[in-house]
Amino acid sequence: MRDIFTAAWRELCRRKLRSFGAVSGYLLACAFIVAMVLMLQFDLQSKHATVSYMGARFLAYQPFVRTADPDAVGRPLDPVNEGFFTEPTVTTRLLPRSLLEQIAAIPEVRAVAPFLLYRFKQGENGHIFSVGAYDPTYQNAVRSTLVSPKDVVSGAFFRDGDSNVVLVDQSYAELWELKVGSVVIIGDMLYPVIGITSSHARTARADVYMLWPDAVAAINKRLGRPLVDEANIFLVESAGIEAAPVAMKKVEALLQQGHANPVVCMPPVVKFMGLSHDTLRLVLAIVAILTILFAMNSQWSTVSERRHEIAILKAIGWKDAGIFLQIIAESLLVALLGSALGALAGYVGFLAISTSMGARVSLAYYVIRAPLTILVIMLAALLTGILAGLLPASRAARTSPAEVLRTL
Amino acid sequence: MGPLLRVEKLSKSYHTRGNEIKVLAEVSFSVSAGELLLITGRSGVGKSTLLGLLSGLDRASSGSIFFQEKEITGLSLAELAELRAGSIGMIFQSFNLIPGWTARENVEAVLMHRGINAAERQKRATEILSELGLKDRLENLPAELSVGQQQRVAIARTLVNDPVLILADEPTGDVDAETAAEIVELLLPRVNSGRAAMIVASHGLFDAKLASRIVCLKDGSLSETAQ
Repeated sequence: MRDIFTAAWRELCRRKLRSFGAVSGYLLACAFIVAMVLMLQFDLQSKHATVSYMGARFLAYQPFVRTADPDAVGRPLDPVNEGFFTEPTVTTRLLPRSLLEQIAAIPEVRAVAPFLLYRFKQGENGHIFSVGAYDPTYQNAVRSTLVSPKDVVSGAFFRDGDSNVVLVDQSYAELWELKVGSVVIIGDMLYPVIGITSSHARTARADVYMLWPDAVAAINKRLGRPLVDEANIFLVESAGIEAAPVAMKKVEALLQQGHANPVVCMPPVVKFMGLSHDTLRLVLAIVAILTILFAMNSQWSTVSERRHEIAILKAIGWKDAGIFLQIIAESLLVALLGSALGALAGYVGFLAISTSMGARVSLAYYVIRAPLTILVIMLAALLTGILAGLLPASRAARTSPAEVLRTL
Repeated sequence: MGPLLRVEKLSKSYHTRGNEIKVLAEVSFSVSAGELLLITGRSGVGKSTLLGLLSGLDRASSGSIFFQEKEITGLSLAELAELRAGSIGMIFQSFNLIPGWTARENVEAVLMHRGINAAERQKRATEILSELGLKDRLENLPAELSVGQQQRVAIARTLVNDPVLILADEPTGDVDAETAAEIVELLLPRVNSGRAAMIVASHGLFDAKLASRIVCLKDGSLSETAQ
């Protein structure tokens, strides 16, 4: 076997240009496939992390239909500009906080918290902004769906004993040039800003966050009747991404009892994944097939060029199996060399792209999973080399030396 | 002890566009070790075809070939290849060296796939090439050698496996008289010592005086010719 590979290597070295072309073909294909597969895995991991984060959490509320029940909205004094709502601009009903226990009892629900999101209009010609009521009693649900101490970009988060202080979302703070120590006017009161937060892609957000009693007090001043242990949104964290659809359905069903309107929940993002990945997989399959065809064509041409040599070798006693193995070995070496270089190039390309994207996955991915993936791709490339060499090798082995030597 | 090679009623036909072209018709002859059989005849008469059949490169239409008392016409391709690699040496008119391989590699090729390690192959190839005066040309490609040197490489390739039957197809056809004499000089000792038999196909340039017997191939049949 060593002789076969030695002779195959010698042949490749002799036909430098052709070998270079064949190796380059493998290199390009393998680099592309490695980079794409790693990016695909990387993207899936990132998406899975995002989906696990986003898709496992949802808001439960009931949209308000004015004609159906005009009194249930919480009767703001300025119903045109103010009211309970959820993003983007869905007016919502007020729901009894007692639903909290029922939602929490659902097995697919890990945590739940009440939430008040109220749209204020500041002054006669003032701007509109939202106030969210933060209830530290339900930190488990709130910190994953709304805002948490980790989101503070300057200043501090709410602390025990705090009262009549606010946190301001970074975008709102930048818009109004608010800093820690600034004050915001809500209703007729001034509230000092103790922290600026940036909660990015949390399930719910507000321009200004207040502690629950302060928010209730501020909102009550804008309502025709005060709030009675009510919330307009429930922040729900399901027991994982797989449990989210069931949890949403059950919460929806729960909120339907005694209420006319269905709950509108964000469906899991995971349902919308897949199209781009399927397309990529198709592209990868096409590249793999083209690689086999290219390699086969290359080997076929080599065998055609070497008919005379093969006939001589058979005439001096080489067996069909020897000729066959020799061609397969050449094909295998080309695949090995091309795929090794391609895998290296692909990995470097992947590192460059993923780094330039500013994204990171775990170190374990870079040192274990990615190399394992590369190994699998290289093995597939070697299999490709064998497959691509089969037909040309079979043709070479079937060469009739008498016929070829006679025609010379 | 019987003949090294015995051919009985060997026929070979080709079929082209529905027509049967009979090249050999029930040819019979035998050759013993120490003999040089010269097969003469005009170009295209079927001399190369006959050598092809004897070496197992081609299949006969009918008839039998016995090599060392064993019928080889029914052997598999692998068995015939084994026979060529171990016992039969071939010399072609156009040398048929592999252009991209060095002189040494061309000779070594015969020993490959036969369980002989690389060092031993290299040693034997170097020895035989040195014997034939090509010690300084071991790593040269055929294109870098003169015609005479190329033919000597081809002879070295034939002799390296110490064959008992040498089949030479127009061995002096493409070379000048001096080189032709040189080639014969290299091959004859092996025959004259009784270690091998040699069958030479030539259309007339080979020195007939060197042959033990001369047969003429004409219209598919062999006829013994007086020397």
